[in-house]
Amino acid sequence: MSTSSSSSKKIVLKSADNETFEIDEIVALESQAIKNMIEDECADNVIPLGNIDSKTLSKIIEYCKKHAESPKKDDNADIDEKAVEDLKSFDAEFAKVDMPLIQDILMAANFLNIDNLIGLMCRTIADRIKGKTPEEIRKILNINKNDLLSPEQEAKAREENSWAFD
Amino acid sequence: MKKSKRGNPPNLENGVDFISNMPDPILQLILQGLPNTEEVVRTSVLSTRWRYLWTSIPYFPSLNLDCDRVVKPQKKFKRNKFKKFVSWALANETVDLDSFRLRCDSYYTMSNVINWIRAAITRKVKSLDLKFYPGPGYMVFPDCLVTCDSLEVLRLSLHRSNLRLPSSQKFVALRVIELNNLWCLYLDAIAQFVRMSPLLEELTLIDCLVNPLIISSPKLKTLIIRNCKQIVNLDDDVSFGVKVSCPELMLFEYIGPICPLNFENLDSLKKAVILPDAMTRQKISSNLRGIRKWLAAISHVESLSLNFFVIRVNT
Repeated sequence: MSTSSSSSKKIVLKSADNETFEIDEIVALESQAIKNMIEDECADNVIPLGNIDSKTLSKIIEYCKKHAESPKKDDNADIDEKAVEDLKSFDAEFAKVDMPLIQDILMAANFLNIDNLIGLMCRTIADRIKGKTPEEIRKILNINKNDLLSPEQEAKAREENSWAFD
Repeated sequence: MKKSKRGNPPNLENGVDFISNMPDPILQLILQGLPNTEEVVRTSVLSTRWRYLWTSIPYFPSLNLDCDRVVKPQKKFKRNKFKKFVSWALANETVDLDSFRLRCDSYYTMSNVINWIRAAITRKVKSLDLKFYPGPGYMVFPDCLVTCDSLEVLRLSLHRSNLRLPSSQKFVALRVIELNNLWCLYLDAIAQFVRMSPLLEELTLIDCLVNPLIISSPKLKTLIIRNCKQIVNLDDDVSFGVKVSCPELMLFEYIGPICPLNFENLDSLKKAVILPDAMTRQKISSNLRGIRKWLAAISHVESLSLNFFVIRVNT
């Protein structure tokens, strides 16, 4: 990575709001979906991402850059503990964003198939809803009122596993 | 990349339920991140989308259930519902069980608990953490737990009961043992555990009633003894105390009643914490004898914590 990035192959991503991002191919390869496209040679110079806005996309690129630079676990070599710690604290900082952005990132990561990022966002969401009441969780996740159980259904659900409810 | 099924445009205004639109595997990942099983179960009332989602976590990679936690004061614990749930959750044999943690005190009979242990073993459980009351006297330790080749971590909390272990067998994969509130009267279960666990790396004894402890284990890296009282045989004062001989040991911690220590073969030791407490056994406080000898045996450690009692005995 430290070798001249100017000579490495570039990929251009275009967000839904028509902003373009030029990144090193190695960074783009963090996305399994883009990797497949490149391998199948069906990627043009510019890859349009019509369902990801620029704010989300720049976050995702920030994540992929950092992770592309870090030594991979499957190298099986003794990985520098410091590098692992460094990546951990990067992830922790990265996840300190509001819920709507987390959800946008999660959707985009799912679309681009970036496993680590999906995992990070899911853990973050779990952290935010743990220990909360169902009412609080509905608010945090912004669950649509039309999808709620009827009072009878909810009573039945609670009864089925009453030991788990207060 | 073209088949985004939902085709949601980005940045929809608040009020749109993104998460519930995500595919099942994503929601299952979120459920997996919850700290315990009842929180997972409670998601069943969130919405129609979440209603049965938790039952589809195909694996329950870990079960974490605590009767104390689910029982509120002034509420009657739903014993049968809970029991049904545990049996149901353990019955899914398609995927291996990572860890099974169950704290059920005396709510269930021994045969119940043994059945759950068997079910967990069938699911190739790696880590077992059980707190239950086996009844007065001792519990016959199930053979199947010894021969289980997936079990790596065993934590037991036994309400002052004892265990009878099958003496002729050895654990296949067990590396970590933690024993809480085990009272070794007549049967020295701790000595047997050590003998039976050739791969043992971590041994923790908390609030146990122990015989003189002689811990000699070739691979042991961590030994923690907290608040364990010793059964004193006044005729045999010599064997009283803690004797440790473990060439790979890196961490030794002793917190509890003052007693003679004897160290051999601790060349790998990096950290020692020795905080004896004279309150409980004033009578034999002089028994921290041989202090120069044991201090010399661990003089190479990088970190050593001692307290006032060690110094007082020495002066």
